[in-house]
Amino acid sequence: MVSVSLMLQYLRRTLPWLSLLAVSLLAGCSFTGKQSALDPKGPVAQVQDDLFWVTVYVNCGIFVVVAAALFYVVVKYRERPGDEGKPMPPQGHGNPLIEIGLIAASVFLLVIIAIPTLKAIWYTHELPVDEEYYEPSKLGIWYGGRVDSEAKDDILEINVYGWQWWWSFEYPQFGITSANEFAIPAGKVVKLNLRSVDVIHSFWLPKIAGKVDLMPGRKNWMWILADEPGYYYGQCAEFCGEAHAYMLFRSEVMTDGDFQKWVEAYQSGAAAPGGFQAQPDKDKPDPTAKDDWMAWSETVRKNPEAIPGDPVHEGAELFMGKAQCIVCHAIDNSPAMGQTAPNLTRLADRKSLAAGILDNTGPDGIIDSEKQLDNLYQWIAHSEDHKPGNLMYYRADAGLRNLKYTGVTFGKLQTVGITEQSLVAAGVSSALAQKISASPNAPILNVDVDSEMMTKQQLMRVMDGLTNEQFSEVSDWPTETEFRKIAAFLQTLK
Amino acid sequence: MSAHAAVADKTELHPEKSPLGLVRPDRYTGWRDWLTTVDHKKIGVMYGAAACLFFLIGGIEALTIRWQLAIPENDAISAQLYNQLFTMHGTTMIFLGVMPLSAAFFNFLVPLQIGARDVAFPRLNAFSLWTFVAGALVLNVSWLFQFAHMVGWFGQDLVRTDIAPAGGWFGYAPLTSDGYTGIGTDFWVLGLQILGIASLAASFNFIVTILNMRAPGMTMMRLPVFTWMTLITSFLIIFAFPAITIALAELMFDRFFGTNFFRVSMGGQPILWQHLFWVFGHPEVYILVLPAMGIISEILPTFSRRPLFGYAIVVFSGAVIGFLGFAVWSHHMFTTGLGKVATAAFSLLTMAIAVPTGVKIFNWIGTLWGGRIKFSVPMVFALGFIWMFMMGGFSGIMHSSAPADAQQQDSYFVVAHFHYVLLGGVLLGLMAGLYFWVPKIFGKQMNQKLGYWVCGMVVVGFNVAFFPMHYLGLTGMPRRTHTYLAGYGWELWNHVSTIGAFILGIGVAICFINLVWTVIRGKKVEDDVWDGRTLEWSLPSPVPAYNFAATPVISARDAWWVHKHGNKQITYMNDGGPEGVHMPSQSWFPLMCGCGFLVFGVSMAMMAAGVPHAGYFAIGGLGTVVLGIYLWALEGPGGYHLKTPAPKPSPTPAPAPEAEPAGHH
Repeated sequence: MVSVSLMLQYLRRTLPWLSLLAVSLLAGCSFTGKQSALDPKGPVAQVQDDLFWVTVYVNCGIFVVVAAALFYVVVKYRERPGDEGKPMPPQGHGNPLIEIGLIAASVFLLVIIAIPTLKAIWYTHELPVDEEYYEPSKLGIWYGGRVDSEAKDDILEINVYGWQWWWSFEYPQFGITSANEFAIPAGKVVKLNLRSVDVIHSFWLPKIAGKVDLMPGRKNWMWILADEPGYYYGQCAEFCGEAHAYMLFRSEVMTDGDFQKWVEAYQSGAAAPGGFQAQPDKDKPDPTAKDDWMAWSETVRKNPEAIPGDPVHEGAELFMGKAQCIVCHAIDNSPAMGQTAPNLTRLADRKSLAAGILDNTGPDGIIDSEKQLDNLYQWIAHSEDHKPGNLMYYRADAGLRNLKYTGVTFGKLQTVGITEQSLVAAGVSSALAQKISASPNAPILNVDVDSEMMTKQQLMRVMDGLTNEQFSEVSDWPTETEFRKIAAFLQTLK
Repeated sequence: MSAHAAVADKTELHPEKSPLGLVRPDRYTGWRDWLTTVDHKKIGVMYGAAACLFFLIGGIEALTIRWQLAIPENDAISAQLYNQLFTMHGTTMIFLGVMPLSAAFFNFLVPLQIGARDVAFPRLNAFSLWTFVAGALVLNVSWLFQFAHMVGWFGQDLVRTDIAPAGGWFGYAPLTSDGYTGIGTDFWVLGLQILGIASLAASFNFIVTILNMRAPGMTMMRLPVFTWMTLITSFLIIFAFPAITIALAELMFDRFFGTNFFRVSMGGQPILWQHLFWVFGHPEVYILVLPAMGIISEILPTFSRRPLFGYAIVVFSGAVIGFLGFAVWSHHMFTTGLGKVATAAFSLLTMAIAVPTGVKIFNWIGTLWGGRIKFSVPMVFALGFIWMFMMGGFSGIMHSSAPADAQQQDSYFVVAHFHYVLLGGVLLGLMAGLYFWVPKIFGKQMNQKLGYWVCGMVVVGFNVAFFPMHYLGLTGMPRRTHTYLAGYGWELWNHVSTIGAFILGIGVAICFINLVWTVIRGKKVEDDVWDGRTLEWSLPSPVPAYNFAATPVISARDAWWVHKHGNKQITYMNDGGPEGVHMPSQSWFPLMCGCGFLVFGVSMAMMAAGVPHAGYFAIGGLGTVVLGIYLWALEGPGGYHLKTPAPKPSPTPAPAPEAEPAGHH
């Protein structure tokens, strides 16, 4: 049995060391981390934070009283040596007055929390139309004459779409779409319409507001307001599958002027590769960026020699053609109009890539173009190494992985040293291996094996030994150089 | 029923044929005896053994999770494996760790505490056990398939590699729909469904037992608090499990047969899953907590040598917690867009549930007040329980405020909160129970000195592991993330937390090793080692097969304590007599049903995976269950008589305390 006085003595001796340890550990506690909810920068987060501290103070009060009582009884009523033979302690069964008193006290303490809770629920769940900052938030007031007249009395709305595992931010009032990074004006009430296209996600931008879920089939919304310009970090807070941890996003809060410039830049879309320009003619005396793109793709089709042979142009051709990026991605103005992957218009303006996991900025917080280029290359050529399960690589019908295995014929496989024997060694039946080798020019994934999942897997297993270079020799998979060219093109999207 | 004469030992029985023409397995000893037993004590021990095994598995899963999170951007394990680990850790600890360990105590203690010779339906009790084992195996077999895949048995390019469940223990649709997760979810759905059958059967059994089989004089308000909590927990199970049964059935229909309960593209509603799941899921929290509270309410009076302060209020607040537990489920859904009225209502109801919980804590302190506290190992654990549970209660109050919860929901703050409740609370409570009742169960005592060390390591390791998570969550770290980027200020405390987790793990491991050692090699202790208060301590350790040689007649709460130290004696009815005590016959059929469920569950998942003919095996499995139940009904209850020893003289009552006569209520 541990004697209490010994324990106390021991505690007295170690207390200085313990407190030193505690202090040094607490020095590792900062309340202002990138994603800290304890560092509110807008009224919604502020209300939530204030309420949190109310609960902390009430709980601390209860804790001090209950812990003191517990400590007191444990010390005071402990069995001391020699107590063995003494009579039993009083055998009372309780005291209703004490019980009722304690219940009343608990209810009173909870009321202290309940009142501000109810106020805050109503405040965060309704547009703050009665607050003094609501009127100046109307588009007609701060966005000048540049919005439709029927939108003048509306506040800024953003449609937030959750996808496995990235974010799309659509500004319906401006006709623009961004991905994974979005901008809002400081000091303005903004309404976020939260939608999901697949599973449940949750929008959490801790310094601005607590989270609200994006539920498929439901129309959730929230309002936010950011006090000052700045750069804020958020991430998906509802488990949404394999790469949930990598579903980050960022928000840049800007002054009204900067925000308008940001919107206009998006509205003007991406310029055609390498500054390619359409020649004015009688139909279009003043060619727009869209005309530049159309002229570029016309030229690629009809007169490829007229396209300069630099990496940007070649990258754009790959993007639109062989690498099949346009199946899913959109670049406003350009022929790329895919709707199931991030909109890449002004991709090069974004400070991060791959939903926030690859950072493009240098130590000064400004985009480092060398780092950006490398990130772009890494992300498109090796996305499966950076983001497990990501659909750019793994999507069965359109992803890069699909590209990796399309166009593979037995004839081409033979050039990188794969024989009929290696097929059999990987588990392909010898009958099928014979069939495959008999038609060396047919894509092998189509030779009688479409429905046979296991066989397909065995064939892929044979190929998984190949390097990226070998893959690009035998299939539609782009070469390393081609990936670098695509990256060079992507870096011009601003 | 049996015409045979009473025997001293069941091995002396003559082989008896049931109406089926098969010989009843009554005479077996050794492993066949354990497989066919209907004795609530043996079933309790098997529940306990299974729980310890799964605690071990769940603990290894937890430590792997902490290992992965020790440093940012760690690639020790893949994202997919991480998701499987936290899914299985949660599922295992709740359904295969805490619930069966509670069930072990229910089984072993309830008949002893109410003065009964067994539960009301002994074969149903065995059925519950084997069905539980089947469900647990269905869940965990998925790991075996997963490992087989990892070492390459299935080829490297399976389209879906999530053979072990990876949808979270809460299984939110539509992530668990067939479009997003593979056969892991099928294992999970079927495993949980089978476990639900086990829990429901066991609960009906305990309700009937407690209501009907109490010894004469054991009125409801004389029931030991642990038995009361068992009764309330059993009611919670029979009301809560149907909700998840429906949810799982709907999800299974979606996945197997193409219904659209949760498929959004066909008009299904994922929010429906969340309501059904949490209508089960929140009472489930109390299903886990109330038994531990019952244990604490037995241990504190024993070691402070005072009756429980406010017995009636402790019991009543347990019932109120159980009742309110059904009215707070939507606080798990504050961020799903419930609207302000529902959010406000569930906020206030959640705050309200703090009152009966607080009442329990006040009454426990009231029990200590004025006592003579002996710091034996179970008592030290029980005091730890009060502290840690109180901390978990505080963060619970913080969550009840919906706007504050909008920042805490799905962050590490929540992870800290429910581990304080379920680990600091429930696990410490169950470990207290283990140290307290192992001497009764096995007649041997665990190493007490080691017990203090275990308690120290568990409490210290636990706090080092989980207290920093409050900070991590508040500074923005979401839960269920397989890693985190550097530069968010989460590195230090994640590292500290991992260290704490390993201290905790070692503490629990020492306890389990000591437990196994004690069962094999422990030294004998006296029957009433703690100067106990309730009827089980009046029996020899280990307890004989028939429990009570003669039925006790009760005249006070804490009957055995009052018998020893007070003025009201337990008397015994002379019902053993020369013809002996009637014992229920053992049976193979509960085990047969369990095997059927196992085959059914695994085959259904295999069917989903596209294994040929698996559907026939599934039908066969279900057929086996039906056949097992049918044969069990035809077999009849059987039974035999055991001789009891001559009643031993009651211990001389100690002089009554001078201050106040004991047991005056």
